[in-house]
Amino acid sequence: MVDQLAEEYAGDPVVFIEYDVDNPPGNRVGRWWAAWGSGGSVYLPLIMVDSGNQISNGSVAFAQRYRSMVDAALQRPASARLEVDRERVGNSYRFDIALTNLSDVTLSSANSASLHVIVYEEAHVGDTDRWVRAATFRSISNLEPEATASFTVEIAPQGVVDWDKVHSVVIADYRPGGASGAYDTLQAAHE
Amino acid sequence: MPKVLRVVWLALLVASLGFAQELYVPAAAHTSGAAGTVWRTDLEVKARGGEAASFTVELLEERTANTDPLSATFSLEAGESLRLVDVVDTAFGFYGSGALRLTAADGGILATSRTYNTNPNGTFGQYIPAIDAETAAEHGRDYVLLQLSSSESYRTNVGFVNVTGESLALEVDLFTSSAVLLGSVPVTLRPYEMRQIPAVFTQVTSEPVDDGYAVVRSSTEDGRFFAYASVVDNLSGDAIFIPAQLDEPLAPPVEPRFVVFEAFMRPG
Repeated sequence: MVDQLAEEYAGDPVVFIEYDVDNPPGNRVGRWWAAWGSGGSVYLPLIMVDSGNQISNGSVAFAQRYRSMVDAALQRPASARLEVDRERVGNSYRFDIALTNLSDVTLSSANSASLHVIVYEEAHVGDTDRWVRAATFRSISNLEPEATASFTVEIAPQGVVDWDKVHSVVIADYRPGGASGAYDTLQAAHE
Repeated sequence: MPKVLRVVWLALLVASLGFAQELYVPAAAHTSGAAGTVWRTDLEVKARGGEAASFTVELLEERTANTDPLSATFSLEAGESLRLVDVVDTAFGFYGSGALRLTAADGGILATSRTYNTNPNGTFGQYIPAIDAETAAEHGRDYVLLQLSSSESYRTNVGFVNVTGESLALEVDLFTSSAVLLGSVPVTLRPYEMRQIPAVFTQVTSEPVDDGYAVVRSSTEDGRFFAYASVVDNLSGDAIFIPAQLDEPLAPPVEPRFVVFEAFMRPG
């Protein structure tokens, strides 16, 4: 199903990636649970767009539901600018990232602002051809509106089969509600 | 509910919700003007989108509250267009100036107009668009009329149409091209009134203005209007129609969003 959507959105600024829910690298799955809150039963797959601004779980009218999530996200303006330079060094990658805050709030630990680097391989492991091999994150501290901060992140993906099929996603997100509630993506970039 | 009643009810509902298409031609005339000019307006209307249409044309007479305007109704077959030559006279038997309001009762319409000075050697015309009422100028924003001149060679008339049923106050600031404010002209319009101010620069200066502009704004809450200028060559009677343009800074470019769709599941 997700592969079909990936084909549909091939010309759009959208990427579909998939994690092992039992051993997800990084802390992205925590965004899903933050959006879910508590209570009620949850079924796989757990789906998230814009860091939890929209979520879904379990059996739904997949194409219709997922398409509406993506279409809604595409209508929203970004709240940050990301410039990403990626370099492979042996079996790892080095990312040089410039993040400009285009929102009207200061990004800091007070709103759990973070920068995530996710590396995935075009490999058919789960239900998509884009399986996450590694993910990590950095906290963003006191980045005022219109200000730019630079980050250097190194990450070593595990289990890569074909390095020519390795890609990456950088996501800047924060928690609009401060200490609670769903996270939201400021901007993302694809390499 | 019987089907016929449902259809009637739906038609009444649509009408009550104001979905009828409404277009304004801000200026039309069957009159004489300055420097021996003789003005006439031809109106062209086409049924829109391959469907039949019927529509009403109302004459909003100049310097009059037009709460009960003269009107004429026409029908068009699908694909048909209709030219109403010298429409102010032939449709309304009126001598003078005003604006035209076109309301589609069935289907949709497209319209254009030409207002021209006629003399023994032919005509000099200006295209005047039929503008959707939804795009009328709004309270709280500045609108500019560009490429204006006032001299022995040219005169600038400015015109306004109040598209609301309430009185409307306007302020017209007149500038030189180097942004020197020459003066302001206040205008108050009655409900649905059209008014044209001839040779407007002569109200604020006795000097020629080779290149100037006007900024128009309304101080009336919920005020909506159309504004235009007509710059006329005093020698030939040739005129150009200049619609008002919103005069605001460009919105900053929106940073496009890259969307990440993340799925958490068990492999296999």
